[in-house]
Amino acid sequence: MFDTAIWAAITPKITLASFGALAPALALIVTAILLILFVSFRVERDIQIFITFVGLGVAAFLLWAIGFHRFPEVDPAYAAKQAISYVEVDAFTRFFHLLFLVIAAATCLLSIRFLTIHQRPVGEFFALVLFATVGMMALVAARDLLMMYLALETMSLTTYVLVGFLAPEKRSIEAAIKYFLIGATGSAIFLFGIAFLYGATGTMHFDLIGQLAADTVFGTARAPSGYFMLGATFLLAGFAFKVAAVPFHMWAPDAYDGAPTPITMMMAIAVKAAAFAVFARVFVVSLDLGGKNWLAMVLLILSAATMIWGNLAAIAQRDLKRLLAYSSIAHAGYMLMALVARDELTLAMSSLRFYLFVYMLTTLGAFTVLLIFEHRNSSALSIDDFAGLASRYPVSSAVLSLFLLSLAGIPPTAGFLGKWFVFSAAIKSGAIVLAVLGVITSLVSVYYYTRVIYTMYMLPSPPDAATNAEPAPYPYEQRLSISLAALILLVGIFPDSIAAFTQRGNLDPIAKKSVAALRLQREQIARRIPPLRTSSPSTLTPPRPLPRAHPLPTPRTEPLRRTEPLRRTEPVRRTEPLRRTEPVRRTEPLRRTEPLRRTEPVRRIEPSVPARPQPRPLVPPVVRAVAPASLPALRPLPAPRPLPTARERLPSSMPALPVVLPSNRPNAPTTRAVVPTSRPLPVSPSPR
Amino acid sequence: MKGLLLTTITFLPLLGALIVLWMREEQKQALRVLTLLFLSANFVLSLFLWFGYIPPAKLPSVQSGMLFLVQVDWIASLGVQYYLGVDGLSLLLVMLTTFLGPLTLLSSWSSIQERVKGFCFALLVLQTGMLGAFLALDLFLFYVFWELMLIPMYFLIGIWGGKRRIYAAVKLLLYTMFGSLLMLVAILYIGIQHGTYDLLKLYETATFTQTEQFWLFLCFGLAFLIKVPLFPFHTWLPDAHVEAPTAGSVILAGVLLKMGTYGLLRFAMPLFPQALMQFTQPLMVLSVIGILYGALVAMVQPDIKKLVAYSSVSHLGFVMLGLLSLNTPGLQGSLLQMVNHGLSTGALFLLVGMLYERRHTRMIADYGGIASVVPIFTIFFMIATLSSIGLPGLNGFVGEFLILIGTFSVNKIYAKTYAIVAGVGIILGAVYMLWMFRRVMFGPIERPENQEIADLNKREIGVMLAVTVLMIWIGVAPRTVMQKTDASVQAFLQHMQRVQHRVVAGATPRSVVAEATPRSKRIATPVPAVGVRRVLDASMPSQKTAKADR
Repeated sequence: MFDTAIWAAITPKITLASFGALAPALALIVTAILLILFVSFRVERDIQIFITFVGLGVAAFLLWAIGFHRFPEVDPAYAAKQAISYVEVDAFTRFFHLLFLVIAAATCLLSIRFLTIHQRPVGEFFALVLFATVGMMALVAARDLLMMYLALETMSLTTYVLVGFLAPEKRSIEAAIKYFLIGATGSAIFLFGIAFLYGATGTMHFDLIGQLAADTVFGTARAPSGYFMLGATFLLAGFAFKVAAVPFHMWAPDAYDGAPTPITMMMAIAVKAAAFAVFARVFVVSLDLGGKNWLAMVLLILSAATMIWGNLAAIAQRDLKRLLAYSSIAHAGYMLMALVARDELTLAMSSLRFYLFVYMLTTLGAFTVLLIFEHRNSSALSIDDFAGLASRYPVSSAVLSLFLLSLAGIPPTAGFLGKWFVFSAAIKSGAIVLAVLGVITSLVSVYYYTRVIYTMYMLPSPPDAATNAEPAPYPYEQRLSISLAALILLVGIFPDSIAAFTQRGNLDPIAKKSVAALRLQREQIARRIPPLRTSSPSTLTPPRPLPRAHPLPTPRTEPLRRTEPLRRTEPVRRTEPLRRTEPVRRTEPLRRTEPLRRTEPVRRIEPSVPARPQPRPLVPPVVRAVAPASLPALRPLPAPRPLPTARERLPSSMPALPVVLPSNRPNAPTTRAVVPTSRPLPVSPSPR
Repeated sequence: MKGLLLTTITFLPLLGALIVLWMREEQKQALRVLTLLFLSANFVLSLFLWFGYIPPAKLPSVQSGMLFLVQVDWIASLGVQYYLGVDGLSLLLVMLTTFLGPLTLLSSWSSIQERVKGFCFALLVLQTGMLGAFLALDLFLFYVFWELMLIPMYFLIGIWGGKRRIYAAVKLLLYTMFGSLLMLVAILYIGIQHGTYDLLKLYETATFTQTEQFWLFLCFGLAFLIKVPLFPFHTWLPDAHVEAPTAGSVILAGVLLKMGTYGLLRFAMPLFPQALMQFTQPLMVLSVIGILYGALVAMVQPDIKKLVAYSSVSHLGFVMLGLLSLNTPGLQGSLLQMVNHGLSTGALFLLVGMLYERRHTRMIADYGGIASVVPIFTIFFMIATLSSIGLPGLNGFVGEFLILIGTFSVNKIYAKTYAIVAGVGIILGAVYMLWMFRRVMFGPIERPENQEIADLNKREIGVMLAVTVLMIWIGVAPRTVMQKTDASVQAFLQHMQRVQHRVVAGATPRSVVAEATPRSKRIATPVPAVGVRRVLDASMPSQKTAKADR
């Protein structure tokens, strides 16, 4: 009745080791549950704090430990066989897992004093932070739209609560409600996109959607349907909400402002990083249609708008927390630039990670200093209050200045290198205009960051300000900020190890299994369809075709439509042979063949063509004489050639440059003779 | 071992800055002494550089003129090297920087009393940034140093400056950053195109299409021209100079402005020769406008410091003109004029600072007749003024004269016109400087406060004596300075001549090739020039050979 063999074949084997990849997240879940139990049994506060950090430490250890083990889920062959792996942990994912753990630890560390001052319980707060972190970890590891949505909601819902943690304080409630409403709208849009994508493709798995997208690009399936594009667009909008890209950013300043400062820090770094990681994965793995299309265009506009508006609006801010909120919006624009540059996949993804890493260090540092000031000043953080702060808080001011300079991207801080990587990815992928825009908006950011600096250093202290030197009541905050500042300088001057770290592992644009499947599919199709006999790219055909005596033997409409998208595909553009075709396209071989066409012998042949008995009427000799590119296809003809062809008149010393044109038909001739570019084509001797 | 010298010279001030960071704010005198010690030690070290730099008389290429090289992989993932070297083009500027370093501190010995620690720190970091920028042979490294010197300058002006210091500091920062960020894009583009940031390798191999050259030159050029500052980009300069403390003004005028002309010479011109051809004519026009405009505006300034600031615009116009003439006297004159301007304008700013420290005003109208009250001051002021005007026997004359010769010997009517107009600029320079001098120094003493002005003390006399000796030395024996630069200038001109024919296949429009011909003939025969006299003799036959070529 119940056939276990079939059941075993269609379900992945779930063993204890299967959970290994998610062990850090599981450790956090256990810790969080323990915390909740501790709260309900009124265990001491210090023990709650202790257990949180122990849990985080265990998670970090597990994260380090699983780096040495290849789990079945990680193995692409295994995943390909099952094709239903909902969660995968690879190097790309592990980078983000580390980042989340660091931020979770920092959030907890920094909120201890904060919660004491505001008289809020520690246990629930920490448990929520841990749950949010679990959500982020799952989000980055997700390989399935539904899994992604669940993880996203886990992350978001806990964050909504955390934003409102200072209730009944008015600002906190307002921030939480606003964040919740707009976040829920974003989630709804997200879900809408998922539904459309599922409807269009019949699957939710990233790789399978990616395979379908690749198929449409490769031309073996129909063009992306309207539903597919609609779903992708909704998904894009959902991500734009989550990363607070303009024009979906309205919630961010208010939510950041009203949230408890440690949570603001967490949202500005970890939530944003998680959203970016899955954003990158979805758009590289699943929705990359290659080349210029609607999605790429929207992404580019989002990036530009975010950089421009984020930076311009930051100028008007009078409050440091809001300024940092807007600056984090602006930085999302630079990170989006890395996504725009995803044609240069390796560089783009490593630059995104490097930027996020540096951004984490810098923003963490800035918020730490902010907390030091906030504890002093009871949460009034107007920039005008900073006047003359440097004389009262020399260390904190210097450190904050360094963080702000790093955010502005001034060498030799790490922020400069982050921008360097992102801009070089953009320039390499051809988006030079976007890079220039990024540079100009950086200039704007220099203005508002340095405004904080000169307020601290160059304006006189208000008369009523205390003149005492910097008190040291916050040793660990201060130590954290100083070591972060040192780290920023260190990474800024010796970035090699961090750069190597961010380059480890990468996203597969189309998962390996998809490529394998695709190849199989193509072979099957190729067996069914006979090879084409027309010369493919239009660049090789003459602009003014000679009058043909006979129609070409094969119908041209269907095959040509199919070869057209070939040039646009992602993997093909990256292959070596195609790059070599570029000079061919540029040299305009047509103009060079013109003298050939004009020479006397050919013209003399023309009238003689109908007179001669043709061995194969389907192949007119005129075609042979004109287009050298079509020759290889014609060469096997056994017929005697009455006249010298263009190819034969070329000197034999001239090498024919073999250019492999990509083709989805293995039987089609892949090597074609193309007139070499570097040498001038010898003009045939004049009849005189 | 020789590479160690450049590294030490570059980073010794930074080491000092780190030590300063650990000292207490209250130890003012110790801070000053320590900083002075580091800056002076750096100057002594750079003397080894000066006497150790003996290039071969005939250089086959620009690269071979580079000595004291140190080349280490720095950021492997970006292909960035730690690559320092010095040649004739940078040697003078390095010497100028290390020479002015201790003087700036000495000049602010008593005027800076608040936040001495920060002041010393900024001064030392600034020194490292400037020296590194002059010595760097890697585009990335250069950019890092280039930006590194901006931040201390921003703080110098913003913290220890005058009333509108924040406005001036932010303006300086934004203007300079605008240019340098565009340069950043250009550097990135070059790095991606050629896979290296190694400047000397790029000299040899880099080829760009005409369009690329145009945009890259524009990006690089804008960064440098803002720094120079060439005429329409100069508006940050008067503000920065007027608001900066004396030390800031001296460094700004003495070294930072040279960064622009040096950058053109080192990066923009040799890397993008064809674009340079397109831009030569407009840039020359702007230089001449700058010369006249700076002089005319300086004439009507009521503020001595602002007057000197505008005179900088005028003087730097001369330097630009000499660079763009692209021949031996022009380039030699420009290099010399960079140093001269650093010395004479630096001296003027030092003196104005000393005067301000005593009377707390810089208005010309507030003075008058103080020559009898402060005779020593008057002597130094006189020498600095005359040097700035270009009196024969002082340094200013040699540089300006060579530049005018260089511009005039360009075989174009327009260049000769510019030389003549620039000559008018020299006369205007004499007018505004001497007029100012008369109003400040001579005439009856109308204000009783002026009776009580104290004359220079020993420290100040020492500072001024050092500058004055150098001014007279260069004025009397310019050979001793120019023989250090000569070989590199020749190599540079040969390089320019060579790369002008390096046309990217198939991508250069025909018009550019046609335009390239006359200019290449113009610099076809490099002139072996040591000293003014020989330049004069030699430049004539070079013209003849150029004509004979046709």
